[in-house]
Amino acid sequence: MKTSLSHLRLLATSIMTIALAGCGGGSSSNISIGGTVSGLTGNLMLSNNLSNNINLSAGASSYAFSNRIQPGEAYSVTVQQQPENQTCTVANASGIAGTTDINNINVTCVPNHSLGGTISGLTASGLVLANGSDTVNVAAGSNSFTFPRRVGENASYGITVLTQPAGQTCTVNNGTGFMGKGDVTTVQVSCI
Amino acid sequence: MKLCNRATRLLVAIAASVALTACGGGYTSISIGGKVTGLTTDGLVLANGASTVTIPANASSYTFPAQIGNYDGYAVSVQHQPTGLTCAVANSSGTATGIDITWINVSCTPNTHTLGGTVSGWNGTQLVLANGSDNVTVTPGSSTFTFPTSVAEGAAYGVVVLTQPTGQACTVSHGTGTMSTANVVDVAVNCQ
Repeated sequence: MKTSLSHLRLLATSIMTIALAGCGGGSSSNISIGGTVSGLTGNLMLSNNLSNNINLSAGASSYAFSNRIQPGEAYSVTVQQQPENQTCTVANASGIAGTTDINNINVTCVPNHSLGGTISGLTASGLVLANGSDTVNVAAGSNSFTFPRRVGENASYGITVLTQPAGQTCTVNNGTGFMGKGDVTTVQVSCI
Repeated sequence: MKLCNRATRLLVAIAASVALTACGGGYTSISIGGKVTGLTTDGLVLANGASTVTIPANASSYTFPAQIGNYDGYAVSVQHQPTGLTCAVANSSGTATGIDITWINVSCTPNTHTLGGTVSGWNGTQLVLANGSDNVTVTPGSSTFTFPTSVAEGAAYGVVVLTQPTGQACTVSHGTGTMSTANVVDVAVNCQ
């Protein structure tokens, strides 16, 4: 009888194991997402699909997100927070996962500097300047401006008037170039 | 031994019954849903057959209001995209196997459109255009250009001449604006 009971216990365990396995579950996530890092001298936060974040600190040379993804799933790596006084860019930032780990989402960081200049003759409101997708609203009477985003060394910039102030026309001089080793403060905006 | 066999059969029957109950046993009781990333605007509607769910901006997960039966198939698709975004569904189809389905994940990315236009009067020496830090070197012999980086819907752009051709001055018209829902092809660069 004792043997019989052991037999029953073993059988019951086996059945429950089979039953649980039969319930199944989610598919496994097994593709790693990452790449190399160069030039980082501060703290950088990257995000995959705006959900899984990773913090990298000075000297990091590579990274991989904690969450793996599934074959066929989309990934999109973006800079969630730039390090102080650096601009990091992400190469091969997005795609669809295949069946092997992705390790070419490489991050390059360079020093950056502020971009701005002087304004003359602005008496009306409504002036908006743009450097690519970065914009700055300039109040009536202002005599200087600085863009909210800093520009990485060796990156180009080109300032245009996105919106003219009411009743005035502004033109930009010295508004195009490549960022060097220091802040750019020499852009001139003249309004008449 | 005969007693043992009967007991075994009884136990098998009970265990199987427990297992089926745990799995849902064909009743309409399996919920389906998943994670959501990158959803920054309203308007996303998912469909599973005739069943739909509307997911608001900034949601991080969703569940269809209507549950499905165990062993029912499901196939989730995007019925309506949110404003300015394109959402994709991962693990979109399968068959319910006894537990709630929580891995039909949705990832949304901003819609982007290309920025470009035409060049006229150009002598063919090096001409580089910039939109902020994005550059395009116009191909000699070409009368059109497109920037390598697309611009997100709702973002500003401003095209300037970064490098003027030798002995010429080029000016840009229609070079500044806010990206709408279609490619920009009307930036005009005229060289003299």
